[in-house]
Amino acid sequence: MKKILIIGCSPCAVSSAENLLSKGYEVVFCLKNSASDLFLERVQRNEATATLENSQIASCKGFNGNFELMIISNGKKITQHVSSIIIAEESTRRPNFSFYTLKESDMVISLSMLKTKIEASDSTEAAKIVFLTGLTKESNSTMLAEIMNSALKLKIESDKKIYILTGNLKVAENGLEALYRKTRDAGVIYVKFGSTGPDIVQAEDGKVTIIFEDDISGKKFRLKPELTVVDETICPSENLAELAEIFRIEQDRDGFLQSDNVHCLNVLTNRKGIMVAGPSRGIFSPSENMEDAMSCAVTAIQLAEKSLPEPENRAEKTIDVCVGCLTCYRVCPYRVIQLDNGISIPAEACEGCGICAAECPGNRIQMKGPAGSIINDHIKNIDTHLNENEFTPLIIAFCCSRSAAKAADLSTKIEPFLIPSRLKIIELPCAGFISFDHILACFKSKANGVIVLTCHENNCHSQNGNIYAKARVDVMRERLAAIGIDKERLSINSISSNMGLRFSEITNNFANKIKTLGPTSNKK
Amino acid sequence: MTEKIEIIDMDQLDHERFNSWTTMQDYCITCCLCSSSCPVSGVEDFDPRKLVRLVSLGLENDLVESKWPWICTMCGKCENLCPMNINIPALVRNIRSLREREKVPGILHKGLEAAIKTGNNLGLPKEDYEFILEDVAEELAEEPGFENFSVPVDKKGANILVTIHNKLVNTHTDDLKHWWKIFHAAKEEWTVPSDNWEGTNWGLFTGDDNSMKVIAGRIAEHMEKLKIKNLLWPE
Repeated sequence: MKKILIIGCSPCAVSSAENLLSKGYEVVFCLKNSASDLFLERVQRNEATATLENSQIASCKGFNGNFELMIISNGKKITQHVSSIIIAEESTRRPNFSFYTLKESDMVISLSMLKTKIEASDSTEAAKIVFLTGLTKESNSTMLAEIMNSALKLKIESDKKIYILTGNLKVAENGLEALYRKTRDAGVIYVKFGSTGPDIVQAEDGKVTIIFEDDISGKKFRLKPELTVVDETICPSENLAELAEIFRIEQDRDGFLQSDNVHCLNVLTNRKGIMVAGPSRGIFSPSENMEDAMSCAVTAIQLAEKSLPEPENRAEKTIDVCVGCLTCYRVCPYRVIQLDNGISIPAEACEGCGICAAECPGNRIQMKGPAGSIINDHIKNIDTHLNENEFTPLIIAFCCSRSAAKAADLSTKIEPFLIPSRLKIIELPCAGFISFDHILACFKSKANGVIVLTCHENNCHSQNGNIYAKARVDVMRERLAAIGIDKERLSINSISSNMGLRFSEITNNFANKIKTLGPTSNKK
Repeated sequence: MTEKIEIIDMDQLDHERFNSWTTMQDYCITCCLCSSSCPVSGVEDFDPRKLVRLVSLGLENDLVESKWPWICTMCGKCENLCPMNINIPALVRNIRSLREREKVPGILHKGLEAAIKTGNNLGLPKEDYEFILEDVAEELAEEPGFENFSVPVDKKGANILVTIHNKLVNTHTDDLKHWWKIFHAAKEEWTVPSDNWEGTNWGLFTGDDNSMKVIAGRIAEHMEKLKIKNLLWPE
């Protein structure tokens, strides 16, 4: 299927659409409000585009390559089937008047208001203009670029006195250092503040007075601008929170639609087939937004053509009847599990992390593929030959393939790292794969200690697999204690793939602890 | 007793006043490398960084009347270290040039005026100058190995023209002999001018570009007139 849904009408969204259309894909726009004439003009030229105005997503079923969306459009219910979804809603601007103890007036405006004035060639008569930015909260390069461009325009067109009062100057973007120099050469005056800012007072008649002290010269200065321009905070569209809920994708602490997980590269979210771009993803420069647009188009095409590798392992429901607790539905990090007269797990979408299988309280899900059987085989065939003279503990280390297994590899191949003898390494697709049954089976097979090694926080490819593993281990430790096995025999740590030495440290420390505990007593 | 701190209206300052100066003081990032390296930092509270800031602000009047520009030794350490390539010694010199000539400290301007008028800082007449040279040359000729020594004056076509520091024909005449001996032993073709011989150029120190050019110009004239290719200008 070659249809892509794009939510939003930002320049980023339009650019993404154009990229897709040029490759022969169909595009459907879903817009919260009605489209501007400019937008329709640019987009409707192409027959392969449909625009749904005044539309909201009501629900989303399916998975990458086959999403079924219910959309309320102009009050009517519409169903759309698309291959993938791109979210690129424009961000909103909130003027920071209150940061600078100012109230909006005809002498105190926001940057957006100034830009509108400049564009409309509504030349302001003010001869003295002060910009305020990044003084109470850190600014960003997108805001600064706009301020510098506005200042430069005003300075060049008429000889006004222009001052920019700023905290740190965020010039770490293409061309901003050069732009800064240009504004300096044109005569714009910058005053930089560190820990203490200027004193800003707005009198009853609306006139603003700014007083500050210069540490270097030891002098006090005053500015009385005829026009004060405050910067703005760039916020994610208000719609994003709702979209996050409907699509079940993560938000970061600012509300943008991408979690802080390192695996959310570029435009990806935790859900394959749903991408987030530009102003919906964070605060970026216009050129970065265009890069995102291209990335989305490329990824959507790749996904549609299935040129991404499929996972080896996958979950499968073993018993048709389940109680419908929806645990698997809730824990699946990729949102692959479908609710359709009971649950179903589409094989082509499952990424084989094993979390659902581990979490299902009724054991209704099994892992098919190499990982499942390998693990079971490993556990069954543990060499339990005991050295009568000295107790060398048999330790099983469950290692996440993305981190711990690689660290273990480093550890065993490179001297002088040493790992404990009788350490059995079992590789898992994800630490979340580990279930109570696996752990119990280890102790049944006469293991003296079991250690689970996961990826670090925010590094789990399955979002929370490491967290689930930890929760499970914590519960299991109590259960083991209840049946007479010392809870210290079960442990969990996080590690990353390049930590060969740390792997050796962790396993040796654990082995020593088990040694002091002695052989497992057989109460059962 | 609390001092009332004057508040300066920033829009009354002319920040662009010194745009024509090529010293780049506007790019100061206040890193303080200049102040840290300055050998006279702290003398009468001298602070190169503050000096640069005052110029950028257009508040140089404070500096013109103060001792600061004259405390600077022009050693150039600040310029060498400045990450923004600000030419601080040149900046100091420019400020020096803004002061009224009568208020230039010490004998600097008086000596310069004498040099412009008479060709040397002392106002030493030509006959006296020539007499001193000959006198010292005679003394040198008495030393073994320098029997036929004489001072070449205004020698056309010589290889090197040498300027004279006024102290060498005033209080330190013996110091003439050292370099004369070297030239003599090397059999060098050298000469000194008979007038406008002064090597020290106090126009450089006092920020007086015009006077500086006059004095340098005179030496260049010698080179042209006497058709000499090489100049030794130790001062």
